[in-house]
Amino acid sequence: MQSIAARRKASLQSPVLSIASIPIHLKGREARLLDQLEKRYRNFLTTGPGTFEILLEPSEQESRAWEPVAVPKVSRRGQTWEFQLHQARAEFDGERQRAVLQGALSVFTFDSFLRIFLTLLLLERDGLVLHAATLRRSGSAHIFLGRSGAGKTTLSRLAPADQVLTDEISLLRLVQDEPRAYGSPFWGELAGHGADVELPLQAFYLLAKDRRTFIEPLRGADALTALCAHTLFFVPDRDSLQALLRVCARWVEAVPVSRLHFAPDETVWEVLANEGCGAPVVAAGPAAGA
Amino acid sequence: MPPRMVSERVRAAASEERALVEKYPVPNPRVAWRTLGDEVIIVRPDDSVLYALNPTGSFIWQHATGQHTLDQIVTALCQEFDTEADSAAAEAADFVRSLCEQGLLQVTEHPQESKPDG
Repeated sequence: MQSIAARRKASLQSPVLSIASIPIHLKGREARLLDQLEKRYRNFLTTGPGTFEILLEPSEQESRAWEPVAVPKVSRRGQTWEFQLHQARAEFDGERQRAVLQGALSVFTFDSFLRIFLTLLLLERDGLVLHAATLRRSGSAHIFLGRSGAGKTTLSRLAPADQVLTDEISLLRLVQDEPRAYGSPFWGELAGHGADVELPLQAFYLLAKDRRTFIEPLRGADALTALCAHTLFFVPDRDSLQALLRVCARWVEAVPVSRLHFAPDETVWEVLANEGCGAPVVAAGPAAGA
Repeated sequence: MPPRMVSERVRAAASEERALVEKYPVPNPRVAWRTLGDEVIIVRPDDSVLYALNPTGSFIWQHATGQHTLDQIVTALCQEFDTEADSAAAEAADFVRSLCEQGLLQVTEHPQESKPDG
């Protein structure tokens, strides 16, 4: 059987990822790294052209396992974003739709960069990257918001494995004003690989562990802060934050948000099936800012 | 605490409040914010901490354009919420002071020329 490297050598192709329907072409001279990334994102490969390009430029610097992982930082100058990552840096030229990732590159480094990169690309498409589990039920996606320890994985374990789109990082976009959730390559404890799927999004639930299971609708500012607080976002400049608030407000208008008080047992599915979570919240009055 | 020291503190606080109500509050230009219904959500840029203001806080924030003194804002607040001027002024001053400490608001001695685009 031909190896992936041999196949690539024969076809002179490098992988194109499709994540949340955004095609991203990975390029670089390091065939071994491209192979590793192709395996890592094997369920998110596509054959079409990439709208965006990431050029991988590994340096000679060896990755040292004992170094603490630095918190990533992103800064912006006009249409150029700079990323400071653990043992690597990147620059994204928004006009050319091209990013260059340099440093001691590994699958881990690329994965970290890709999450942050997607926060920018999705925001431009009225989309978000959330700390949340996405579960499929009856042909629709349901998103369960929660930071580490909130119960995302606990809830995901209660669902059939093929209904879990991610137990950690959810991806979503408004497509022609229709809320859509996507399969995610970013997982937590369940360590799945994800699948490149797109589903209509039915509801957001803010997870709250409790002794019994019930649903408490959230409206207006409560809904908006619940969503914003679980958004993965790294660019601290005012325009970017204003854009984030604008997009979150659109989602709160489009999709109902509730607090899901839940006891860790299967009654949670009965409650979700029986109660729903009410009508979408509609923002009243003028919106300030962006 | 001796009664005289207490009264001096009260007078100092009252004096500070009087000074504050004559100033012009305006959002920190680095802060992002949005109105949803009658509530305002603010994001502090340095640490992305979220603040949700209640309706009276939101009213003050929305009128804090740098073109009205806090005293003028309190007058409008009393008309809108049917509340007493003295208690409203004290609470509004506390609120503005608190938001200034959080880096969300600033106060200026003179009115600003144009309304911020918040």
